Amino acid sequence: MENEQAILKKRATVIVGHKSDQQKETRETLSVVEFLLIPERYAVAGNFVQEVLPLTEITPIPGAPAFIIGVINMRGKIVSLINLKIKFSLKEKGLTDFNKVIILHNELMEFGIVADAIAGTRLMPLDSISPPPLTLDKIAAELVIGISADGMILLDADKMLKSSHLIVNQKLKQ
Amino acid sequence: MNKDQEAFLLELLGDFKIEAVEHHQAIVGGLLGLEKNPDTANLKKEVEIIFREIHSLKGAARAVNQLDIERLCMGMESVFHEMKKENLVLSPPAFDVLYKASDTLEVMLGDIDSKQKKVQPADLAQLVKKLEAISRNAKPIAKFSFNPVPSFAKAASTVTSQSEQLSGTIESEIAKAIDKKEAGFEPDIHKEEIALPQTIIPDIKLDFTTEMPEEKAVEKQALKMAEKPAEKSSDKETVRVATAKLYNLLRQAEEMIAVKSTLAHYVVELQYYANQYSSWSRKISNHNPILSGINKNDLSDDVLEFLEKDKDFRKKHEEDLYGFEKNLARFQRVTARMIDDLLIDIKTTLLYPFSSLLAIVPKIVRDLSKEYGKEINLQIEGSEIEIDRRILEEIKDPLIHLIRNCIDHGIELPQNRINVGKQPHGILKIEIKQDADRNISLQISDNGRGIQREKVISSAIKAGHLKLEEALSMSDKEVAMLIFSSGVSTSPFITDISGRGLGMAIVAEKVVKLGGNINIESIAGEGSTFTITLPQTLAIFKGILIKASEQFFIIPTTTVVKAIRIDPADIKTVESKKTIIFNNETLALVSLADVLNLPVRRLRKGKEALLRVLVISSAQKKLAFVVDDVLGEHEGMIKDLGPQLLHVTNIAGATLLGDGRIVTILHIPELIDSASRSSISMDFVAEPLQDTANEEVRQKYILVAEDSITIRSMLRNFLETAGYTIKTAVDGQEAYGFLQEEKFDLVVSDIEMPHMTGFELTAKIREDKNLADMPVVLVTALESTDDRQRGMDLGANAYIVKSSFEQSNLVETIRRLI
Repeated sequence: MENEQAILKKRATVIVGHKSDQQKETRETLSVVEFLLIPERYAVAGNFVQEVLPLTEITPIPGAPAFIIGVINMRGKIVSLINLKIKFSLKEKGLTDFNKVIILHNELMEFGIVADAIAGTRLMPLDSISPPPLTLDKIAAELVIGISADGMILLDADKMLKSSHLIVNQKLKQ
Repeated sequence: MNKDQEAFLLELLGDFKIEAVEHHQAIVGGLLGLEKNPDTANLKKEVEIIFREIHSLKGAARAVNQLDIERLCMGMESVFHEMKKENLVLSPPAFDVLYKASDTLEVMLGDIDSKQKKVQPADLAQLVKKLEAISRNAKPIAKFSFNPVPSFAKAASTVTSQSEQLSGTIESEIAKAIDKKEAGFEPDIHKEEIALPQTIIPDIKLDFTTEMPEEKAVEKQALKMAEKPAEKSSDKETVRVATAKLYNLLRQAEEMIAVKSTLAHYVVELQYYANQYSSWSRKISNHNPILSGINKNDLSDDVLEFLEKDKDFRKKHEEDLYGFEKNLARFQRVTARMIDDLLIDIKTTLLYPFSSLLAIVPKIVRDLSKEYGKEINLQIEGSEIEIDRRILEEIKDPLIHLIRNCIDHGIELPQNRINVGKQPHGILKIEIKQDADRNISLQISDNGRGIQREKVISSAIKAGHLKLEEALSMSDKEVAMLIFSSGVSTSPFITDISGRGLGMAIVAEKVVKLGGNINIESIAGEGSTFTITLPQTLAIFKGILIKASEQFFIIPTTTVVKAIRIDPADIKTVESKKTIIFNNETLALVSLADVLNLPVRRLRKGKEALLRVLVISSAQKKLAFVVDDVLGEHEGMIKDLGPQLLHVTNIAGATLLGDGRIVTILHIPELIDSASRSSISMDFVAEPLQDTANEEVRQKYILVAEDSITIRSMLRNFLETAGYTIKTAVDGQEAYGFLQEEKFDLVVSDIEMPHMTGFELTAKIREDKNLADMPVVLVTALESTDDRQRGMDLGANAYIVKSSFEQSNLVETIRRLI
């Protein structure tokens, strides 16, 4: 268990980037954006969140995989949206109410994840995160850092942005 | 080295790369000219040109510290140096060495930026050695025949050898300097001087002076330098701008198209609001409901004054509103014209002569004809005609492919040509023409054996594009067009350049993508001609906006042959496939919604009987697509779908409408492929038509109130697939409004909604006399006994919690209720 904590801590540190020493003296925290995807609560590290938008008009993309909800117009730029529930094969309890979009980005990648509601930003102590539940399927387990004491699932935005599982490139069938 | 210097060097290197490519092309062009036409008058001219080009390239390479390139140039230069002195005539092997050198030069120029050099130092050294060997073997052909006095000749030749010695020393000094890798431009001055002694020789001969050549040389040099800018200024004044900067400008100008369409959209919106305001104002003026039944004389002066003021106010604002609308409309027109002009002007800056592309052709033809043992006479016409640089870049590969095709498949071996009574050398002609509409045609023709009908047919049958009986009735032209289908090749051997049968299909697709067209004429035994027609500039993207299964799509205008309406009675079934006759051609008819796997929307009762059909063509394939509606043409920019959606089958990209909505652009070649592959039986037409014919099956009309757009469209698709007709509302308030206007059979409502919740909506429905019997189904995200009880108390007929995302219980519930 101690070992796992260390690994988690390391993973989380990589995500936040190396903090200065003075912060290390106190309890290490991670600034996260918390959101609701009924019935679960999720969070992503704030430094990968470009912005949060209300979800209005979606253009569906016929033929795209089911986890792609469609594309939206973000000030003239086209951004694709992901339904994490489908990608994570999470059991769905209750009708979701996708009303918000969280735009994640790094230098190369950019996409949005839909959420039912945004709970806000908060500082999450790194040592409060325990490993993800074993019930998650393989892809989901790869993209989850862990679970906080109060049951919030911390997603690995960095890995999501780099994951080849989330890139759609349908080759021409010959 | 500080950062500024580094940046400056980088910039210099960028300039060098551009300049070097031009020099290299001129060198290759000169070499080919020399080889083709070795008579004396031409020789002198060409040698001079090549020499000057190599020399400039060498100097430039030195300036940016590209020592390897400089070294190679120096080797080449020394050969031409001897040729200029008429000490050397190039033999075919010598030409090969020079071509090799030129190719190597190209490779080296290509990987200036990369750390890993493709050219090994040893290879380079060997090449330079070979070049040196050629120039060393040059024998002074000291003839000076123009000089009548033999002793003069003798004297002159002494001077010559002196000056040669001199130039030799200078060169070795430079070599030393290079070895030392001295920085700066100093060695450049020396290099300039290498050229000097031989330019001076004629002067020495005539003046018979013995002075050291340096002084004269300096004069000569000054003269030469003075000449150069003079030459240039006779051309149009030009500025060298990096293409990236031009493209950036173009992109920004193109973004302005969105401004154009947004403005047009605002004009329409403003018109609408002005009309609304005006009609409301008129309504109040004519029958103010508050004043109905009240005698004007009974009103107090205050009220009358207020009414008068109110009327004036409304009138003034109505005028202002219409005035503003007019101004905005004018501004929109002016802006649109300015944007169009700006785009045209920016595009003309991107025009470039074909010669820049065709410069590579002689070399390719030479290499290929050598490789295949064929003799080819290349003719190029119209290379001065200008076209969009981007088209030029894109058309390079198709052009090379067609040339290879002509050489490999078209032109016969010399012996075979003689056998059929032709000249041993084949003719490959590239001709560029421009018509009055600024369209450009690029024609590639050969006088070889032509396209062989039988071979194409048998290959097409093998590839599954054709049945034998179909082939028999095809014209030669139709057969020739078959080579654009993938998998068709007439070459029995698969070589590295042709025979795989993929190339022509790619050529056709690329041409179509550029907004052009390709055509073949072929006469057996006499040759074939490929004609590519292209627009002069890359047009702004234009597409037809259509609707299929409640979704908008755009189909590129260039692929649309015609939008037509057809009577379902005209649909014929051929081998279980639906077809229509269009312009005497039988075309397969498919539903766009089916091909895209969209939920098929049933036709509403009483809908028009004619089907809307778009005839689409791409790469010689034609197909008819049934769509719900054709809404007009749209122009804009093609955008990609973001870094996550690299490619989705059948989708080419997306564009933005004036109101900011995204519409996907269909990828027509893929769509046609998908359509011909799909085994969907075309029942789409028959089924809904039965519904319309059989009035008894009236479709049930359901109102869905839901604030989440995703759930709304999910519910819509789901219920439509189940056979219901759907109208959606974004909240309870809107739903209640719809209920007043139209007759529905059932209401499905979310509970949590802004403005009016599902509970409130249910209560209102039950209160309304006319709606009291309306079945109401509440759907909710959260299971809650309190909510269920409350819903039932208010009179909802069903309360559904989604325990999973499968909606079957919803449909079951609805079926039970209506």
